[in-house]
Amino acid sequence: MELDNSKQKTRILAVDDDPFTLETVRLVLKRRDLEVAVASTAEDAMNILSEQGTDAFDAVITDFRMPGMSGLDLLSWISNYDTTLGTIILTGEGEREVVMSSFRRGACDFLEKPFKPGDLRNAIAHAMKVTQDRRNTEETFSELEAIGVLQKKLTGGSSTVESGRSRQMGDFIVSTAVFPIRESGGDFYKFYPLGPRRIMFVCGDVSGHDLKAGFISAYFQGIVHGMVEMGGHVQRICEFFNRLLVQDWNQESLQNGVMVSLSCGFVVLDLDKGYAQGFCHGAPLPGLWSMEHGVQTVGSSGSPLGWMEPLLDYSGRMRISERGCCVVWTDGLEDLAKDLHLNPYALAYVLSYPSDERPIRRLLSRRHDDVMVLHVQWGKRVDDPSLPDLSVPIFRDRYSGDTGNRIDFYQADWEKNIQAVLPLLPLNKLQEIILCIREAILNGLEHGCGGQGQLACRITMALDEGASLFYIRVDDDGRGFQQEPLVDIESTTPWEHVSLGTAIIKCYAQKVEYFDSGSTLLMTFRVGEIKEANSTTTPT
Amino acid sequence: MQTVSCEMLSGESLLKMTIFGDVISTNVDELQKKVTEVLQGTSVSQGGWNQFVLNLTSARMIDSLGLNLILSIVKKMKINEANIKILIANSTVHRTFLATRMDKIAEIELVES
Repeated sequence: MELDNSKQKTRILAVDDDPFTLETVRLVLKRRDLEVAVASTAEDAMNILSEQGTDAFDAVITDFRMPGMSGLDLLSWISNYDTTLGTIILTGEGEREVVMSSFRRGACDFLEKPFKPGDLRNAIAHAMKVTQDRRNTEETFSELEAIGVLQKKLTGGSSTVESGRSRQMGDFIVSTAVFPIRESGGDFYKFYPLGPRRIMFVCGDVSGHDLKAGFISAYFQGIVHGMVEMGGHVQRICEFFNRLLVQDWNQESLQNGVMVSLSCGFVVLDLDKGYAQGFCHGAPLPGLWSMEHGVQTVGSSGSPLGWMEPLLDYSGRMRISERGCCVVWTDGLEDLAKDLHLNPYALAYVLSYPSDERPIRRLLSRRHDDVMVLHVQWGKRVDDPSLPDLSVPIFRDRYSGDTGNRIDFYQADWEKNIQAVLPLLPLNKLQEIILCIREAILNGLEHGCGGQGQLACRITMALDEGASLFYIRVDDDGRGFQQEPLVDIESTTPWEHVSLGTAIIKCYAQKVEYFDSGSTLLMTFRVGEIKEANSTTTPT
Repeated sequence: MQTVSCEMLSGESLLKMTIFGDVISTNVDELQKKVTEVLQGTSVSQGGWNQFVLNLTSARMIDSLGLNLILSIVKKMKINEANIKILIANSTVHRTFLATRMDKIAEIELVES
């Protein structure tokens, strides 16, 4: 590596109690037009750095063994004071432990004494480069934070950290959870109330987390905001922005190979007309939950904005129930869920409805991208206490009809996800619920689907607002049947396990309902009182 | 790994069969074979015992297919007109046996694990 001498006033601080070493360092670096300040102890070096400022230097080289404080102590002090300054430690031959310790204290390189002038020059050049890169990055982060603030002011949306923020918007209750990697760019969302019973919301993700991504995110949100105010149609807005990216931004980017894309999903909910409409361009599809229909996704996903023209319309529309919940997330949540071996709906719930018993910091430490999830509920009726609270989906999966032999694997997945959502659920209660799910799924696969691979069985789990009622809905593609619990065990033949399964489910579930001739089973379990009982004995 | 064992106790008047682990849809076929093998063993088939104990204390889960296997074992043993007792340690398994009225065909005892 060669030293870059083009920069003016490049300064190095050399620290060693040995005057000969200091003089050698000074002479070698002076030949490269580098200015060298010297200190004979770590304490002297700290004084110099405090007085002149760490940003007055481009690298520090320090001996390990010195009277008083050691070189490692100096490195610790520097890393507490300025994380950008590149440092090098001088060690004796074979002092591997010192080298390892120095790296833990932020050193970017080491040199063994005695060293050759070329090695010194290379190490200094490396440290200077590290300093420069770190300072550039820090500057960029500061600018990104400023853009994030501007973004929020301009659009009223959010890209800053939010955890389980709930508020009422007309007849809708919205909950948002946003965990960005940076303050700007990345994931964003925005709600547009179109009346007390009509709402539109958008969430999206820009490729990259740099200044350009932050700018494009703010620009898109501004355009959407303006066009929605003017009554613009969602698909036309997306087509307009896609054209902008493809023809202007990415045409130029093709030269250097770095294209920009923006994934977005829009949802319109209209309670008076009773429909939901989804427009997805590269974003995960919105999930619509209702007790009557389970979880259904709306629309199909097309390519992200910025990839190609024309932008095809993959929007979809479906009827919604009087009470339900729409869940939308960006791909960062799906990636994190995969990493944690959790169902995305379970992770979405845990992040959106945090509590003392469900700490989320450990989960989020595994994320590599922005994570964002929105829950929009409707149908809360304070005037009718007979209605149960609104519920939120926490698990959804689909099993091919010929996979009954994988039931143990499925069971482990249910257990893991239920425990993530309800960590205080007593083991015996968990076992009861799991046994009922197992019976319902086995029944769906073996009898509903007849073991045929082209048919499937679907499961959705949901939890009410107070986490007191737990709903499990199992649907299969079969024609359905309904079997009463067995009456005479003595007469049961070995193949009549359906009766036994039904008896088991009716024993444990608070409520059991069959629909569509039994091809849909809805089980309700009471879990709330157990949670309350536990909370009195469990230390917080 | 041992899944089923059988031993004669109390001067050959008590036959005790132990099934190790859960009795569920994914292992009932294998358990069925083992149970058949064990019951065909010389000491068991020679008879002479009048009490049969089925030890399920290591089971944390028994599903409907598992119950079918238990049921078939119990019915087979009833032919010998023996007193039948099933030992269970897990409360959910115990409740499942009561819900499916297994207590009508055998004595169910919840023991401490």
